Amino acid sequence: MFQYIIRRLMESVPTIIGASIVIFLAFSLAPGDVITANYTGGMNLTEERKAELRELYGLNKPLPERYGLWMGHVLQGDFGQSYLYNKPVTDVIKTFVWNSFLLSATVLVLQWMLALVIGVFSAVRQYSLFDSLVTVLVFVAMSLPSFFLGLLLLKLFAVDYRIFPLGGMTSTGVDYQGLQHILDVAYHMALPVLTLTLLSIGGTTRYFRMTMLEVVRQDYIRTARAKGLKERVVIFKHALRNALLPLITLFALELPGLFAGAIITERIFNWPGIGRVTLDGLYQRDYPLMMGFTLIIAFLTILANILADVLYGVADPRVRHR
Amino acid sequence: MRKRWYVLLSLVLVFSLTLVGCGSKPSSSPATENNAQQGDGGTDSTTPESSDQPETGYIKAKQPELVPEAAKKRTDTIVIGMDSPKGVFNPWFYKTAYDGYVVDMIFEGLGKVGKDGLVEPDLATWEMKNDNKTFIFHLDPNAKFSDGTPVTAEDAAFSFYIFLDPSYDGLTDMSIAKIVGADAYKNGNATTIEGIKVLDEHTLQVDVEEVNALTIRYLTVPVLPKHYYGKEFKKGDLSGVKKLNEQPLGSGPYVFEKFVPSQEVRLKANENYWRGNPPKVQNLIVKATNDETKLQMLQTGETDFEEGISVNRDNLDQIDAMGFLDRNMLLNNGYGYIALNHAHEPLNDRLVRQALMYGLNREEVVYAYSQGLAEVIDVPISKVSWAYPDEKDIIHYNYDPEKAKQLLDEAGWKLGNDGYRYKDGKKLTLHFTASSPNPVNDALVPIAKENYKDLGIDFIAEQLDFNAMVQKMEKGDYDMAFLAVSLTPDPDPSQHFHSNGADAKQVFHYSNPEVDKLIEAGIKELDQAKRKEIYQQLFKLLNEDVPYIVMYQRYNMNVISSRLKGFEGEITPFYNFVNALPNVEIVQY
Amino acid sequence: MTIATESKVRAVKRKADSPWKSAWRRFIRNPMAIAALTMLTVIVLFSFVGPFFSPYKDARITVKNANQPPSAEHWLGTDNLGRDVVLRLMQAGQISLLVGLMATGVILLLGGTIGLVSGFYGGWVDSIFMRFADIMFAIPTLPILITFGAILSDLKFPPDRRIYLVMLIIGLISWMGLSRLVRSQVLSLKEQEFMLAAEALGLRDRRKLFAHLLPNIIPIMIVSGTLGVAGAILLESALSFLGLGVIPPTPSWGQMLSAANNMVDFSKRPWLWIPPGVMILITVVSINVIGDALRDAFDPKMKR
Repeated sequence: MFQYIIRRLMESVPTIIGASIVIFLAFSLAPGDVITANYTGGMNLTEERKAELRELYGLNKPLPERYGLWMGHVLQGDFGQSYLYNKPVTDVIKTFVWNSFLLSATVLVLQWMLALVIGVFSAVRQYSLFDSLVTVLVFVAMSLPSFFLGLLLLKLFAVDYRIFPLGGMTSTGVDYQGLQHILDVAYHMALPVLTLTLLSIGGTTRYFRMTMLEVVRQDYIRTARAKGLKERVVIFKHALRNALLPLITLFALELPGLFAGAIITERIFNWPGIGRVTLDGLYQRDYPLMMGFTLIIAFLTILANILADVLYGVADPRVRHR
Repeated sequence: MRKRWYVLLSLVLVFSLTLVGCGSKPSSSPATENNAQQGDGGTDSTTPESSDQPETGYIKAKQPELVPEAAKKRTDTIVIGMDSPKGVFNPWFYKTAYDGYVVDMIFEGLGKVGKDGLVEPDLATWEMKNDNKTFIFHLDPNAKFSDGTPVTAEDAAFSFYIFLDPSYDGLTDMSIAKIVGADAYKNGNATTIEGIKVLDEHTLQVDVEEVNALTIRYLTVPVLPKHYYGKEFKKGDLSGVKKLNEQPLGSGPYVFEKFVPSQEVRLKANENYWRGNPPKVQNLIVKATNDETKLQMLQTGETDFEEGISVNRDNLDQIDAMGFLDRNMLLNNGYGYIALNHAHEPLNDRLVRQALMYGLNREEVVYAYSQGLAEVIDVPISKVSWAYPDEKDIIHYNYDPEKAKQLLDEAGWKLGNDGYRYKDGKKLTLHFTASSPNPVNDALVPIAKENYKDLGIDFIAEQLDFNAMVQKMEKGDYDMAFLAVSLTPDPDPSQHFHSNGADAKQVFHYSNPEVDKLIEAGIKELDQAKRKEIYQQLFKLLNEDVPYIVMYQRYNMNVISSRLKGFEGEITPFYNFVNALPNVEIVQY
Repeated sequence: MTIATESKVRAVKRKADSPWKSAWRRFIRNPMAIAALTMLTVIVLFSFVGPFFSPYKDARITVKNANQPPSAEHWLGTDNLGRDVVLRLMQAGQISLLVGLMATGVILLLGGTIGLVSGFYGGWVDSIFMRFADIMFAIPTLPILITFGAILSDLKFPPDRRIYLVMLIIGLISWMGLSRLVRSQVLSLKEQEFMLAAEALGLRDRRKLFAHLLPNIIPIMIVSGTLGVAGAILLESALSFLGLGVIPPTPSWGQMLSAANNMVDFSKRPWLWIPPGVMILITVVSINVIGDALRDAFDPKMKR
């Protein structure tokens, strides 16, 4: 196992280099740059000034040189300056990413806990009323775009019944400390968390239901039942543990998303997260910001996948990593 | 310093998830006006008479007593809602209009743009000497920064050193001002700018190589304390200056207190404001809001003022229904237009361009996009500008398909058997590039497709990302594309219509010697009355020549809780609400 | 003893009746499946044949009829350009159905195959495929799509057909998640008794892959597939934010939904967004029910 981890980590080096090249090319070959993004229909930037700015940003250099410069700096921990925010990329990311993380992590926990319960019950009572109802509800949530769900909740709970605030992360104009601050943030988080949970729970529920259905049909479950074990024990002790195995991969796939932010939901609820920042960055062609952030996410993805494979090997003794 | 002239329009595009604001009294036919009522079907709350009442300008709330309790509780605080500022609170570097508003609260400049769009004195007065090539700025000796230090000519001079720094990457292009020695400093080894001279503590001299009507707009720079921003300044390295973007210090009516990214900016009245009249309300909070919930923020009392609510029937109805909201609706100093590539046949033919103008039902497009609350225009200049020609002197290209067909026939494009027009065996095909998302295009493309098909034009529309579209246009690989432009307070249209202007040359490929002559004359002329004459002539000419298809002028709207008093009459298309803020009071009902 | 006979009987029966046939029989005996299949057929007919019967198929835009509530003439009202919502719904269906199925098809094909092969062969095959997947994960979708849109534009590719290519590309860059899921499934299946038996029997790889492993990963493919169709239909509307969606006036369900993205349309004009929402819902639920039924039909262990 230890050897396997070492091997995977070594394999990551060429992978991350490959990823960095792909990321670099994806952004620098995309049409337009920060100068076209500032195109205002032409009343201010002269041709000379455009050329000057491109030179200043190094956008007129050949691609390999630009890549070399970028990577050189990245290796020293310097992701460059964001054009839009006028400060180091790492500062911009640090400012927003943890707000997104707070939101996503809460959602992830809720989503998996609820999906587990719902998924297991739908599987155990396959084709029951509960199962059908849940199936339909899951797809209702999935057939609506996030802004719809967000607006609906806002209208209900922030405008019609003013239970929750209309958006933001903290109350305006005050600096709460300690517990009060935590409560304030929690209060502001309620609606976005609800939105994102409703949106994401559907898929996870289906996967839980699927793996449970597979497992309860296995011979060892029949054996367990034949032995006269209580149904609850059979389901939660024997079936669930095995049903969870394939979901390790799914879980790992969702981990990098914790840092990626939710563009639409963050926007509708005025949540100061990284998702809105990256959309802005894309429209404004803020290359340093976009490339830096994407590279970090790629790195996290690779780590999460290694984690998944290792965990999988640990959890399922049958799987041997060779 | 309150120069809006380098504020980005592209901003609007940044978050174009949402509709671009627009609207006001329809200028179109009465028939369209009536449709406004039908248009909203049974859900329309306005009565037929209400559309006859004035809708533009400052409209007061009918039931000010309905101000929500949440707002009433704030007795010494105003909350201004707008799209989130990015935290670049520095007049040299900010890029978004929202950072610009905060900058305007904290900083002042040598001069500022007044209500009529002309430059007027602010921190300084000035005189011109030496055949108008020398500007002497006399700074107000009483002026002080909020930390108590006096505002000096050194501070003003420092601004020029920033703008002309080789590593300066902000949006102001100071080289246009042609200051003596600017090039030697920027691109050479000079350690000082020859044309910038500090004569004494309160007097600054600026020498320029040549002067024109725009020079003063560039020279009235923002004034920032050098002792604060200049600590780590080195020629060619502005990182030390940029570090202070989130801790601004200026001489304006407000002092900066705290910035919570994407949430709020807190400001306090500058108690030592050198003009002796600190703002009447102690606290000012700029709160980040979004288009989806801006009105609801006002409704629940979380904000007192919203900087920009899209102007359409739905929003006006909602505002009126809430009862306690004042609104101020003003024409935008800018317009939307369909750019034409004159390098492509047949767009180099004036008759064809006029036909495209007559043959497109612009009223309908504008109506669909704004629910009847934007104005169709026929001249490429804002109606709010002093350069706008007399209505009776210009051609109004009202929808007239017959006239359009006639013009196309005249231009030699004859109808073929397949319903399309041909000339010399070439089919009349036009490729339209639409940036997406854009609510105008959503209405424009379907209508233009129908209208132009009627004329016998094969109109092929495609959608692209905004930047991809701009790049394509710069490559010259397009026929028609929809764009919107924010104008500077000064009406000089060199970039768009002078054959050497960046856009005329690189994008529109438009060149008209007569237009060139008038534009050159207009910039050179320093006398306002004479300038006006020249521009009226110029825009009349452009109206006839149709360099591109001008579409509409939209409205901007500030929405204000009636508990705030003091905005009425203080805002113009050139003069934003920030100017009025210090005199605003909170009234209780 | 009884178990042995039973399996013998089943084996005999299987010989007499191909597994496909018996699966089909099981499938059509499932009333839910038949209902779902009917619904899907109705939607397909509605979208592809319906427009021919609409009185508004040649209607011109009349802005003065904008945003009318449902009435006898316009059963589901009109949109902001005065167009009949029923007709728009039909035309939108053509795009959304094709687009949803296409992208999902590509993902299932690529993700399934790569996951299967990678998990089954392991070793360097696995390493190469999975590291390739890691790099693919790094691809930032949005700029790639923007670039692709610009290339199509430069090639003067007909604008109204670009959406299909775009969805294809989306499929090509989004198979990695499924491939990892399938691979992990295969990794553990490989060590189960029946696979060890297959190994011992010396079955050929192809047999092991298709006859033994594939049926076991069908469930995960079905779940991913149904979730994918819903996702793709909604994703299409998000593409218009990048200038890559369908070009107006061609509608799609997703775009009809997102055109009503403000509080006013939301509360005052439900006819603009409920119909496309319901269409997406019915489509997705039908596909899901059919998928479930298919899985049950192919599962010899199922009692039903």
